[in-house]
Amino acid sequence: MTPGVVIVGAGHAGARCAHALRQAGYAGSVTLLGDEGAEPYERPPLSKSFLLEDGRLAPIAPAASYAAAGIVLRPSARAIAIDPAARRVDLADGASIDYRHLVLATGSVARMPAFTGLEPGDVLALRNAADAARLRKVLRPGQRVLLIGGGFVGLEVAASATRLGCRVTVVEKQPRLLPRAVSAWAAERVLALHAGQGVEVRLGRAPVDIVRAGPAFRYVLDDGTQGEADVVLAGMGAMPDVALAERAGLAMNPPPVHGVLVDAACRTSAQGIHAIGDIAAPRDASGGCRIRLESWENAERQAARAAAAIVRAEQGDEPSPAEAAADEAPWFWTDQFDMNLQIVGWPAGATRYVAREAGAGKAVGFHFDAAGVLVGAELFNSGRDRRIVRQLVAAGRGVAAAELADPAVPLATALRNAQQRGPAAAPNDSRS
Amino acid sequence: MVWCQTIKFEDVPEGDAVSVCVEGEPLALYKLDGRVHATHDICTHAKAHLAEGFVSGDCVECPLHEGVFHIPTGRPVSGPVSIPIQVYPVRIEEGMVLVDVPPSG
Repeated sequence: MTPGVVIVGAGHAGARCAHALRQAGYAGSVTLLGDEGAEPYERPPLSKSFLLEDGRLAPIAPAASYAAAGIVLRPSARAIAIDPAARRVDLADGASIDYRHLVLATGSVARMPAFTGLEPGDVLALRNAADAARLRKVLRPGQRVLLIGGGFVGLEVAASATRLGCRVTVVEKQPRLLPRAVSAWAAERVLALHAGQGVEVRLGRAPVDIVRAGPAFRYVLDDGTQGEADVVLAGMGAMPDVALAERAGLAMNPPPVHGVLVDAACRTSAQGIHAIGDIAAPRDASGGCRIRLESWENAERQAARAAAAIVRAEQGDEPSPAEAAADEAPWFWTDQFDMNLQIVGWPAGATRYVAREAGAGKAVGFHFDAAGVLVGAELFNSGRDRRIVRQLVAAGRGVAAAELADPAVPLATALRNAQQRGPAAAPNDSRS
Repeated sequence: MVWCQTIKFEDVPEGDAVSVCVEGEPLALYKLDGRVHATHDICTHAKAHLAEGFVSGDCVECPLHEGVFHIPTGRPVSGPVSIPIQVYPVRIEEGMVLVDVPPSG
């Protein structure tokens, strides 16, 4: 077989990239290597419907679609090394595959706490289907769950566990939930939701010791509080799985924004190698990367971008390396209990906000920077408004906070007014 | 054909959608230029209600993942959706919207 595209990692980004290559007209071979032994599946349901309902995986694409598109899917072929000079990937079973273009989509691994009194496997986390299957077994009515860290995935599991009849305690060392991802306004609402459902949330606290106590665990927090739990779960976020890329000598962005440096076309420092999804650290004007995204949408976008770049390269159109484009605002969502929260742009870094309350749990928070520019929004149970909210965030300047805060003013009117004012205008008082 | 009564024609908002339940099936009703269309309410990609989505022209965008369907035909247009959304025949009788929902099973 003439070397074609080899994709390492059959998660969301990898699977979508394989199909995107075909949709973009790529005619060479496409090989998708995974190490989970399963067809590519949607990860978002793992913390929700997978735990609460049937425990079935939701495929990213119909099983037959891979063969139909001429994609060689190898779900149990773990890559262990890359030789960029020889353009070759070595597999765990001793075989190797030559490539013309390589796409690295190795995803993330859960950040785990280290306690000397615990064995590996004592603390659970949720990253993949195997983790979710393990959780499904232990989240039984009456079980006491200690969740370390109040991030998105952890809070989604906390909600599901509560619905399954578990008693959940969340310990977050920051003074609020979701400190990096959402505004204080949204964090307050998420906290109220969990508290109202009986989840015990301990903010500004961290466990200092956890030991086995028979079939359960005994823990001590940094304020001296002691407790017991049947299940200990890490909800401390994830780290990009960059081991292969590092060993291959690809240019990396150092921690804290650790990842494989890529340009706007998701190309790495090595000829013919792309990186997409959680591991990709897009180079900005500073030459490094200040923002790396771990999201479903980012996996979608970069999969399409890398596929397009590969097709262009095949046509002899190799654009010069470019900085990551001033991007469309990112979009992210989380579902906890009956709350759907969607986040557009960068609300966490804003300096002031207005809230548009529509009752019945529906609200949108609009976040402005010091110059009065709308930089992000948080939509609670308001998915219907997402499209127009994205347009408002894209407009950025000239959006009137007072109009957004008034439910009697349609968002479409606020958008039209902003567009009429033009990008130069900033009607918001930015003194606060 | 099993024509099932849903809601009044005038209660379907123009250029927008509303959800109804017929024979246990959640449906979304849309009114485009005065004409009512019906699709299944649950997106074929993930569990989301299309009636809570964004209607633009003759398409609806899922409120969760931006999958877009053509309302009259159910054809997937863009986004992560690959499976068409089920559409149902509609007729209006004495001001009521009737939908033909085949018995399940």
